[in-house]
Amino acid sequence: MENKLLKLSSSPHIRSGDSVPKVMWTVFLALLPALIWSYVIFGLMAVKLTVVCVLFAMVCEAACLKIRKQPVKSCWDGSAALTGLLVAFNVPPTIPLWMPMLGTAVAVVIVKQCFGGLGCNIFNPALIGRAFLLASFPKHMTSWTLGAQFGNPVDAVSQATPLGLLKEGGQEALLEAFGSKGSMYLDLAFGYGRGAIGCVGEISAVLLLLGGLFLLIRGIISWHIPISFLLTLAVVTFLFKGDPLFAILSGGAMLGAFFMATDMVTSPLTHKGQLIFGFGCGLLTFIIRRWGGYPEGVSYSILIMNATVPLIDGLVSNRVFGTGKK
Amino acid sequence: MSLFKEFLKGIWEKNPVLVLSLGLCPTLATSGSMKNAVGMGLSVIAVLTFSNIIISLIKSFVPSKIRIPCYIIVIAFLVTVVDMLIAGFAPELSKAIGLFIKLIVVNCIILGRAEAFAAKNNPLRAALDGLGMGIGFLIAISIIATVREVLGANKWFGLTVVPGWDPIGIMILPAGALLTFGLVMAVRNVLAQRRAK
Amino acid sequence: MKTILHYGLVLLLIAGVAGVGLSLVDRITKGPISEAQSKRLEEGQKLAFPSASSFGELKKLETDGKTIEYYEVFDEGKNVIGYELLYSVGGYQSRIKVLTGIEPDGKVVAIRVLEQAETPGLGAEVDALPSSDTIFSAITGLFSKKEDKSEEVQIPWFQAQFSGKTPEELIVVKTKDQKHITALSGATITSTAVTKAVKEPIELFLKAKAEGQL
Repeated sequence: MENKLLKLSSSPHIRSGDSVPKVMWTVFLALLPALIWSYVIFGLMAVKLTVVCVLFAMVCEAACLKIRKQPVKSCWDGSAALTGLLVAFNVPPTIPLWMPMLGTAVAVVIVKQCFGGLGCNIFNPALIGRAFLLASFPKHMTSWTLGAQFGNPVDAVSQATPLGLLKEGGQEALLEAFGSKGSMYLDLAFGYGRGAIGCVGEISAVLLLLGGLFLLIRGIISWHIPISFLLTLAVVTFLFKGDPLFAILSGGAMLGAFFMATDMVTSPLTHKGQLIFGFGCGLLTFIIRRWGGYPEGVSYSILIMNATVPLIDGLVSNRVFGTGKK
Repeated sequence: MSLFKEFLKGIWEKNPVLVLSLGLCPTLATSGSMKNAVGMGLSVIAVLTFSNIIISLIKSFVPSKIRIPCYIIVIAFLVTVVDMLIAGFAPELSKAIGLFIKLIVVNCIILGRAEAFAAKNNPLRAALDGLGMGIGFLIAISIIATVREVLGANKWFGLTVVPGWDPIGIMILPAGALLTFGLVMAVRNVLAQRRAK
Repeated sequence: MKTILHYGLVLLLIAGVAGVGLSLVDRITKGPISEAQSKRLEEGQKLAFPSASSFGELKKLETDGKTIEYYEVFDEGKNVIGYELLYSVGGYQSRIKVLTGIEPDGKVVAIRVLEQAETPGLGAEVDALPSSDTIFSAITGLFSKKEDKSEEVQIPWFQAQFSGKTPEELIVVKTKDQKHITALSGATITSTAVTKAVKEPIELFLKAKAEGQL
């Protein structure tokens, strides 16, 4: 009962229509097209994986809230469900089901609830979940199968992702696999043909872009992080004689830029800070992809930048109203 | 405080690893497998007990201003003895944890107990304190090593636990060490709070 | 002045006693330690070249700014039938020291990892025997009568892969493949390091040998 009295923040108090559930379920809606597409490409198992992760995330959240003596009802606010969804979106569709469930549990219990629950986590929970899985099950997390349209991917032969191809065989291997540059861009953008390979939720760049635009229009996210992220990635790739369009269409760039780097809790508060944050993400993604041990670097770059958010916020904090200029 | 309690306090109430947070470097480094952890724990028990006894014996004539260098000499002496004995008579163990044995010199449990306890108490109490703290260390590191080895390598003392199961590789890596350490510490705190009620 | 002298004497006394104690212990352990070391080396030598009957003295070869230590391998008639190369490289978290037995043309006879302290469960699996012992079987084994296990030394599967390969075939691959070296799962860096510790000295050695540097 006394908790209710204590839930006061300092002024100014501006009433907005936004609430946690509303924001979270809007993001959910924005990711729905990508989920439907992954059903089309990978079949029922992608949906099964996603549903299991979402439900399991909510169960974990509820259990933690119960232990922490918080209102258990909050597990319906969508934040845990979204974490589960993003974990599922960041694993290969053929992974044994218990692994993403473990990743979800780590994300919700350790990364989020152990740090104090909603709004208190330092790192993006879903990405730590992914990093945990990648460190634990390198074999399962990096074996990909080409999604057969309406087919069953279990029988498909193991193949390299477009980024893996680039890492192993360079531009030539990429061109050989796709036929021509034009068809490569098309396949990657729509997540079709040879482009339909990768994590559950990242295959179709266009659908993710649509979801991102929807969030922009609804005012859930601002343009600063995604644009500076993708722009930096493209420009730096271009400067080092890479293919800028390929860089932003492939791997998890779209998913990361619009849905994970923009997480309100783990990104800077000011627009200037968000530009720096996006720039760092883009640069690190390029560095990891080009010189790192892994073909894909979106998740690690966002996690590293998460750690710098307090520094960025301190560096470019807004002038407090009423104080003098420096 | 009774002698028995002096011995017992290192195991639960003032466990060096889980309560005093001492000696974390060897705890994190050698808890990747049970074999290493137990070897480390036993070596620490030996060094800690004897260093406590010796330091308690020489405390009266060591001037307080140079006590730390004196303690370090004693500890380094004991560690070198243990190191040589293991290398001579248990070469397989030495191959696995030889590197870490040398690190016992700077294990803060040993200097910490010398400074905080042995220098102020008689040799019998100091010995019991060292033995208790050493056993506390062994228990803590064994718990952490069990969790890490079983989850991270699907093994315990090198023996497979569940045939055909894919272990959670991260637990065997340094990140898994910190994670396990934090969780074990949290569990101990919960149990301690329950007991206090 | 007096206090400095006092402090100095106390320190000297303690250090002196410790020193005497150490030399005593050293006298006891010196024999077993060097014995254990030479035993380990001998075992390794035998494993890396099973058909050898004796080995030469340790020799050093400096080439391209790198030093290779090697032994000559003799058969019963004291003819040189091959070499054993001793080389160490940096692994994931430790120095890995490898002894490689080669035929005169550079073909690997067998290898033996002498020293490594890689991550247990991942990189340290270079020493893993193809064991199927589980806790369950260990416990049941305690109660049932123990069968005599043959005294034969088993070779870890990772190291066994190197036998019979030419230097050109020493390439680390991630999927199982008889022709090359299959990496340990999750420990590509260690696998690559061991392979390098085998391949690099062979190439240097053969080059030096062709140039008549031996």
